[in-house]
Amino acid sequence: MKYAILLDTSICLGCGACVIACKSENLLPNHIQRITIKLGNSQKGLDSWFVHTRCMHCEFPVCASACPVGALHKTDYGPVLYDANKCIRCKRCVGICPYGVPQYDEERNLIEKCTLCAHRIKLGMDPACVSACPTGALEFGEREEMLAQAQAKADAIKGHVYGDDESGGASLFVVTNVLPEELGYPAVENTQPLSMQIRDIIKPAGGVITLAILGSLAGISLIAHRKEKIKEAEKK
Amino acid sequence: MNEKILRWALAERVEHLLIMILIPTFIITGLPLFDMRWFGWMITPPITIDLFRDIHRIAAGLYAGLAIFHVFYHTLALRQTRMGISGKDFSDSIKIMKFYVGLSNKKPKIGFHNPTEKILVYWLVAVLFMLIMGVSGIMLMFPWYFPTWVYGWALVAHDVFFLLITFVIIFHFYMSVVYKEHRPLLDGMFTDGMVPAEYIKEHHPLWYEEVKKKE
Repeated sequence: MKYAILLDTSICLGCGACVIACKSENLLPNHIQRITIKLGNSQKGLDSWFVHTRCMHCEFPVCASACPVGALHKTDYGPVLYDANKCIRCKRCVGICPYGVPQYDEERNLIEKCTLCAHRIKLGMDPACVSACPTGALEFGEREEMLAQAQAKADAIKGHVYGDDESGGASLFVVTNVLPEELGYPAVENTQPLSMQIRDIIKPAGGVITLAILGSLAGISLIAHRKEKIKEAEKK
Repeated sequence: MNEKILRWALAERVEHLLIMILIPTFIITGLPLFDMRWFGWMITPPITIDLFRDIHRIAAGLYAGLAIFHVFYHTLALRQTRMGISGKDFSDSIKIMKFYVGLSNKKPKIGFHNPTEKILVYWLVAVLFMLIMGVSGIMLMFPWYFPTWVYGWALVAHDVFFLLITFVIIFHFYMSVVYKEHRPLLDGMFTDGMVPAEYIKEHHPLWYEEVKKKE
């Protein structure tokens, strides 16, 4: 079963309770937060809509594709998880995530990103941010159910759902009143980016071609060597 | 007839030697990041990936320095050996490849440079591909200054051109070290830069004529 979080920005007050709960749950130092909240682009006044920057837990996570050591991986129950023991701190995930999520914490020499509170999910609990949300703007549950709810909510306000299509379908759905890109959410393709698809092909192809070149050159030099020997023998 | 002609001046031989050290350094220190599954074994204590990355970047700095020296040396200078490419270089290069593959018995008359080497090894690898590696490498070093899609393509470019460079170097190594006929050049490169006039006359006839005219 896959899980997901639903964020209904129409009732998010931007209070930051989720940010604090996340920091407290994951024992994050002062300078690090896994969720950031800011006013959406061109939002003013009391009915403003807030944009959350937090891991989308993509179906095709480019952070995991770019990671040379497999320190980031997509789990079958939703979260994209980070393994600090495998990580070599190359920061490719920081550079490549279109949502700007992974951060490098210089002080602790770690990559920081949301885990969807995988440790709480395993205990049957909601992620800390969801439990702390005072307005119910954050909900947690089975992915398909959350997606259906997000679509129903979007239909009710004639809004949009962000995350259903992006990066192959995320495990975070955001309901917005205007186009998500207008609020400040990045436009992301549905599929894995072409550059990452090419990379997946290059690595095995590179090895095969190198071996083929070495093999054919060895073959050519063997033939040349034999020809020379035959010539020498004929001369004698 | 033991006459010899200077083919590579000391500075050029040193340049080549440095490239011979730098390129394998790039390859060795870059392999674990290219594919950790295959080359992860290279990172065992006391070697760390950070150490490899630092060496990789220092080598890049040295290569850039060498490139600057190279431009000054050949333009302001001291030696100009017709590095430019003409249409004839391309047609000669195809003829040469046909000759080595066995599709033709005739080698075209060439000057100082072997046009295939000039195009592939010099212009493509040492200049263009290494420039692409440098630019994409800088992008990978400072990911936060570039859009994510640019970063993705920089990663692909760094991988693809690494492979292309490796392929050309394998050919270069084969043609210069394994291919017996070219031994006098190899000997010259790693000793005093001199190559027997007889060899030059046979393999680089146009250059030989130039040298004789100057004399």
